[in-house]
Amino acid sequence: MLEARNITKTFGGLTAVDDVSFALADTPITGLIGPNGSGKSTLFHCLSGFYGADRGELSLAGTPLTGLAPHKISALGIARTFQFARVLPFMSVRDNLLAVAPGQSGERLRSVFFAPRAVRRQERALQGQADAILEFLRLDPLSGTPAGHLSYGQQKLLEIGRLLIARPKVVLLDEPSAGVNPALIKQILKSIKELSRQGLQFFIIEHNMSVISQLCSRVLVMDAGRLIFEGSLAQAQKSQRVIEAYLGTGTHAAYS
Amino acid sequence: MYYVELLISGLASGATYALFAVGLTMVYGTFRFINFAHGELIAWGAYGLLLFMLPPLSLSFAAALAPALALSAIIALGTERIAFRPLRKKAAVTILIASIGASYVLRSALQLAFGGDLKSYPVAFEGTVDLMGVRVTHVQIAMVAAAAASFAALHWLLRKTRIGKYMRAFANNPDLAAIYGLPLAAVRIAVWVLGAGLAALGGVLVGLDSNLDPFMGLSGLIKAFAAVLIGGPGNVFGALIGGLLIGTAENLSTAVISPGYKDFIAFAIIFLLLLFRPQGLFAGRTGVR
Amino acid sequence: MDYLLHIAIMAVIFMVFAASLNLQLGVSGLYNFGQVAFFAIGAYASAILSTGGAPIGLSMLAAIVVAALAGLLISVPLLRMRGDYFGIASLAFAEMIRLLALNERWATGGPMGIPAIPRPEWLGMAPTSLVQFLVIAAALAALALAGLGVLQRAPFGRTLKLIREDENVAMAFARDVKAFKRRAMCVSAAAAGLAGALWAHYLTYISPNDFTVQTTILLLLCLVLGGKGTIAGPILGAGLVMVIQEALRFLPLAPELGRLVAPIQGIVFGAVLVLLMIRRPQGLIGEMRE
Repeated sequence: MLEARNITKTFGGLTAVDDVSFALADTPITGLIGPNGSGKSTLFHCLSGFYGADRGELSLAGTPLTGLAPHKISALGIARTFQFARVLPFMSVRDNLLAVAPGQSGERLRSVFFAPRAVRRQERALQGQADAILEFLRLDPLSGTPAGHLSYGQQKLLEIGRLLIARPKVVLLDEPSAGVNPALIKQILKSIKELSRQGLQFFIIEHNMSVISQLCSRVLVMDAGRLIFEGSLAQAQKSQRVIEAYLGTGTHAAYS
Repeated sequence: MYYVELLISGLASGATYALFAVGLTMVYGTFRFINFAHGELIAWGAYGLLLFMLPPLSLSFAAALAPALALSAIIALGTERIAFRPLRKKAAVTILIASIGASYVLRSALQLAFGGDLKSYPVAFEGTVDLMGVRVTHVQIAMVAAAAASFAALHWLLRKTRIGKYMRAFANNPDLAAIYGLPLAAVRIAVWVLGAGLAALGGVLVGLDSNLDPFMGLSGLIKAFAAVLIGGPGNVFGALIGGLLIGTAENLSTAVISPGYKDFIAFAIIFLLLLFRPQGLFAGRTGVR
Repeated sequence: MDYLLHIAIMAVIFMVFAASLNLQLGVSGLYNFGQVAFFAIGAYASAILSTGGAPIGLSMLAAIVVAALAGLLISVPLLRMRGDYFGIASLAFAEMIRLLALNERWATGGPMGIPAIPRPEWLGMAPTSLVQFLVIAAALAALALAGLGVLQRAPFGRTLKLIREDENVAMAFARDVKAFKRRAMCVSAAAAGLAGALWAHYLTYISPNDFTVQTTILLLLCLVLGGKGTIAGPILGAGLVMVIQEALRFLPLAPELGRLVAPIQGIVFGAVLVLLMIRRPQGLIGEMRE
C-alpha cells in the first residue's frame, strides 16, 4: 500500500504540490484528476523519486521511500509511465519489453562471462514472457518492428506491456489515454483491468472522465497543488469545491 | 619586478585569449553549439597575413591585415554554410563532431599550404618601452590596445546599433526573436564575421609575439574555451574577464610550477568549471541552458 | 609483404581501440572525446613496466588494469556532466594526461618518449618477426572484440542502450544509470588500455606526440564511419581508415610530393567526418540493420 504524508514541492516561489496526504488503500484503481497545472504530474514525480519532495514522507507497505533515488523506488515496486509515450524507437518492440525486465543476471558483467548458460536460460524465459505479453496486448505481429514505427496508441500499449514484464506492485500511469484513438483506448482499458485483477494497484492521472468512470472506484482531486477531494467520481461531480476548481480555471470542458 | 613582468605578459596573452573567445562564446550563445573549428580561424588569420605579405602579393603589414581578417571571416561563413547549417536541428554533440571534422580539414589545409614547420612574419616589431622600470614590448602593448579597442567597439555595436540589438535578442531567446521576424541571416553573418575577425586579429598578434605554428589554433581554442567558461557561455564581456584571468594565471604560475605545465591550467579550469559551474563564474542564476 | 603485415597490425590495434570507444559513444551514448587517454595510459604502463624488466605478458595485463582503474576514477567527475560538456571535459582530461606524459620525465621520458620497448617472443620466433606480432595481436584483439561483442549483445548492452535512449525510463525501471555508465567506462578503458599496450610493444617507441587530439579525431572517424552502436561497425571503420592511412605512407612518391600526403589525407578524413554527420550519421552499418 502506497502512503504519502504531507508531500510538498515548491519551485522558486510556486508551490506545485502543497501538503498532500493520501493512501492508496485497497482500491485497485485510483484516479487522480484536477484542472491543468494543479500539480498532478509533479505529485507523480515526487512519488517516483524524480523530484525530491521538500517535505513529507512516502512509504510502500510500511517500507519508507522518502528521499530515495528513482531507481531505488522503482526497485521496491513502484513503476511509472510518463505523460507522453516514451518507448525506445530504435529497439524492436520485443526488445523494448526485454530491456526493462527486472532482475536480469545478464546485466552483471560477471554473470555474462562466467555464467553464460544461466544468462541464456533466463533470457529465453524472458523472451517467452515477452511474447506472451505481446500476444495479450495483440502487438505480437509487430514483435520485430522498431518501436518507433508504431502508432502513438500502440506505443502507449507497449508501455503497458513494459509494466507487465516489470511486475511492480503499484503503477503510476500518467494520462494513459491521451492522444490515443478510441479503439486502442479500449484495448488499453482492457489491459489495465486485467492487470488490476492480477493484483496490480493503479494510480492514474487522466483527463478523460469516461476512462476514469470505467476504471476507478475512487478518485482524488487536486487543485492548485492541494488535495481537495477524495471519494467516488459521482460524489466528486457533485462536490461544489471540485466544480469550482474546474470552473475557476475554465477547463470544465474536461467534464463533458 | 619579475612578478610585475609576468603579470604584464599574462595580461597581454590574456588579451589575445579574450579576442579568441568572442567568436566561440557568441556562436554558443546564438546557435547553442561548441564550434571546435573556431581555433582554425585564429590560425588562418595569422597565416592569412603571412600569405598576403609574401610574394606574389607582398603587401605591407598594415595593408595585409584587413584581407587576412576577411579571409578568416570568409572561411567562417563557408564552414557555417557547408558543415553547420545543415545540422542546425540536430543534437549539440552531432554539430560538435562535425566541427571537429571541420577543424581537421582546416588545419590540414593550413599544413598543405604552408608546411608543417614554424614560420614568422617578414617584419619584426621588436621594440620595448620602459614603464616605471618594467620592460614592456611593443607587441604586448599592441595586444592590450587591440583587445581594449575591440571590446569597446563591440560594446558600442551590441548596445547602440540595430544589428547589435538583434544579436542580443537572438542570444537571449532565438525562438522568440524568430517569431518577431528579426533578421536571422544578418545576425548569423554578423556573429561569424565578428567572431572570425577578432579571432584572426588575436592570431596575428600571437604570430607577432612568437611564431606561426599549424597547431596554434588548437592551443588558442583551449584558452578561448576556458575563457568562455569562466565568463559564462554566451557572455561576451565575461569572456574578456575570463581571457585576462587565464592569461595572468598561466604566466604567474610559471613562477611556482614548471613552465611545461602552463597549459595544464587552462585544461584544469575547463574541467573544473564544466564540473562545478558550467554556467560560468559570474552568472547569477543557475539553469541558463 | 612487410608493409601488408604492418597495415594488418595497425588495423587490428585500432579495431580494439575503436570498439572500446564504441561501448561508450555508440552503445551508452557517452560522447567521450578523450578515449586516447586510456590508450596512452595503457601504452605508457606497459612500456614502463616492460622496459623496467617485467615480463611483457604481465606488463600488458597491468596496463589493462591501470587503464580500467583510470576509467573508474575519471568516471566519477565525468558522469556528472552531459552531452557536449562531457565530450569537452573528457577531451581536456586526455590533454592533461598528455601533459603529464610530457612533463614527468622520470617516468615517461618526457618529450623524448620511451624507446626500446620490447616485443613479445611468445611463439618462439625472433622479436623482429611481424608475422609473430600479428598473430599475437590478432589473437588478443579477437579476444577483446569477442568480449566487447558479448557484452553488447548481453542484457548488459541492452540496458546501456536503454539508458542511451531514455535515462528517465531506465530509472523508472529500477536501473542505476550511473552505475551502468561507470561499468561501461571501466570496461571501455580496459580495452583501450590493451590497444595502447599492443601499440607500444609493436612500435617499440612511444612519445606524447602519439596521443594528441589528432589521434582522437582519427578514432572518432573509425567509429562514426563504420557505424556506432553496432558490433561490426568499429571493426569495419578501423579497418578501412587504417588501410587507407597506412597504405598512403608507402606510396612511392618523390619527397616533395610525399610531404603533401599527410595534409591531404587530413583534409579528406575531416571532410568525411563532416559529411557523415550530415548525410549518414549512423555510418556504413546502421544500428537497426544489424
